[in-house]
Amino acid sequence: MRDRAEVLGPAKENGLWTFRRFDGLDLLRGFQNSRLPVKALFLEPLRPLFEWKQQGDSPELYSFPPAGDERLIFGIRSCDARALRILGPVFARDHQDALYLKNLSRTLLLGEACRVQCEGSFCGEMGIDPQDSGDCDIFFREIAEEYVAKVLTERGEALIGEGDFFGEATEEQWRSARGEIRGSGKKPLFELETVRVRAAERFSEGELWQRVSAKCINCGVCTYLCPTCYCFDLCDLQTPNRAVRFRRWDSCAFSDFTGMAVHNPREEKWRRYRQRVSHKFNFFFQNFQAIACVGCGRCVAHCPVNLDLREVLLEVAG
Amino acid sequence: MNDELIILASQLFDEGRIEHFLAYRKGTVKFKTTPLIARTKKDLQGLWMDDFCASNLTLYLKEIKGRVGIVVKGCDSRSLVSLLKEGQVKREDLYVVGLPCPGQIDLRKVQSALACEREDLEEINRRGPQILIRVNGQEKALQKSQAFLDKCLACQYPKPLFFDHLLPGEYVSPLEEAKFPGDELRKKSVLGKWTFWAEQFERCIRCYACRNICPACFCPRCVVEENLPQWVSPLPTRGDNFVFHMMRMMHVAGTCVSCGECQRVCPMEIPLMKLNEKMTDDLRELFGFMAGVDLNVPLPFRTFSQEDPNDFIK
Repeated sequence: MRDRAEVLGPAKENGLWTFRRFDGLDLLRGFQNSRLPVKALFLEPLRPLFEWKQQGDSPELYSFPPAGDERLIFGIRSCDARALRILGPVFARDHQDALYLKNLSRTLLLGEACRVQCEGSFCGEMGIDPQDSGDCDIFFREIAEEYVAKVLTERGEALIGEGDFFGEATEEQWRSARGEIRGSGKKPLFELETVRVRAAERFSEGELWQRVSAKCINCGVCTYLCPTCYCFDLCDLQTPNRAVRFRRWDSCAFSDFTGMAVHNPREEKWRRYRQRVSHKFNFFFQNFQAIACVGCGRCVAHCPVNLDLREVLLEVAG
Repeated sequence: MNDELIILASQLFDEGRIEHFLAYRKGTVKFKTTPLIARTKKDLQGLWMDDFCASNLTLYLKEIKGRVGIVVKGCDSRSLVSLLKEGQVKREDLYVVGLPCPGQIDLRKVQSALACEREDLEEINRRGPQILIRVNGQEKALQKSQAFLDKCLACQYPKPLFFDHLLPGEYVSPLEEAKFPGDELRKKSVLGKWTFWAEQFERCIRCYACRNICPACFCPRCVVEENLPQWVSPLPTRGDNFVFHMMRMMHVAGTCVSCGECQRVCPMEIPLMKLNEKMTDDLRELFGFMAGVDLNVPLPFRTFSQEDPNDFIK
């Protein structure tokens, strides 16, 4: 693939897992999920959209077209792969977002089964199987010296037909490659349907949201590390004869997120925290018939004050 | 210790001395406690303190006004001194409870020393000078210097600088002799430093966790959010990130007490304390000033002096 596509895989840099250009030969084992979700490679934290330049008397416009090069990302976890699918309709249904959609169509997604339960994760509760996925092109399970792969798409089929790397495996081999997941096995924390219904019912209980958000510090960690948060802002960088318009991530946790000229409907942090939970577990479902959370646990593990979404959902469901 | 504190805080509520009590409760992830913000006696039920009370609770004094009871470690009490100096809190509104601290574990250091992930860590126990750690079923031992936060190795104020009540326990620094970890970066050329920080700031996502967790960052409206004029662009580019962090550091010069929370919570693991430590050293060398230790010493950047050696200010 490297001859014709950019190949990205897990790498540890500066103490955190990320996706980097893969130039090696041996596939890495025992990697943990990336700190920033794989979403960051589809909806980039910063993306130039168009540029305006003064050339002589007339202004000229240039756009930054979507990258067209084929790309392969391996080592994707089921949760992050599902998140890309959940975000699909956001960028395709009412408005075609060429950038996100092109990033999806140009990328081969190679998933890999988890062997360790991530700190803070609750993928099981969110209906994600960390050892299986229908959201990738090919999904791998690691066995002793090899991998057993399940091919899920035509593109995946074409890829494995190319080289001499793959042999036939039986259904039984695939099944037995399902290994144990270290650190899991606890009983589910909550029932998702109850959470969804109760989040809607309890929207107007200001006291509840004030209580659960009391220690929130209004930073963007939970939203920026989230594989399904997709809010963005448009910003211009201007000089007298040139300006570039960028898209950058934005976060509903920030105090000026919905600030307008005369009014901010979410002045208090409990309203912003309620927005985050309600968007994921209520509004998004109303709009797209899916819950915008995959239980990856990043927001739990990395919240500066350990404001645990799982606890909040339990409280909301109660 | 926990029971004693619950009784004490309940009394304070009963007597009407406090409207809020800030302490800790059990965290939901390994080796962490989480802030407890009690508004009533009933909220005290979950109160829990152990050897992992790393958070500096004084951060909530930005938001929670009025009469507050608060649990502080020695280092956290320096933030209180700074906040008092800056007029952000009043001494008579505070009921300060001192918490003995055995030194806080730096999970990132532990992971790097043992080449493991956070998920692999099963147990961490302090045993004399050693930190015993169970990793994937195997027992390992680290020295304090390999496992503690840098600020704990340099701890000079294990006992709160002022308090109304001290919880029982030993108020001693984790190391007998404070050890200031040297910073190899200082020896590098300007270009070397630039290369280092360019790489670090490249991955800043501008989540502002560093700013929001900081007890010294108490401006109701941060310069970052100003757009008339726009002092710093909100775009997470290397250059703008650099401007943001330098500006923040200069802004807290004199009030930053090196509590290290900015670095501890950075999700992108940017070693922000390297900047703050340099600033602290400069303040010591240029102004003979150390933040958060003496209520009566004026803040260097808020003070006019006739003897100022720089004539541009006269």
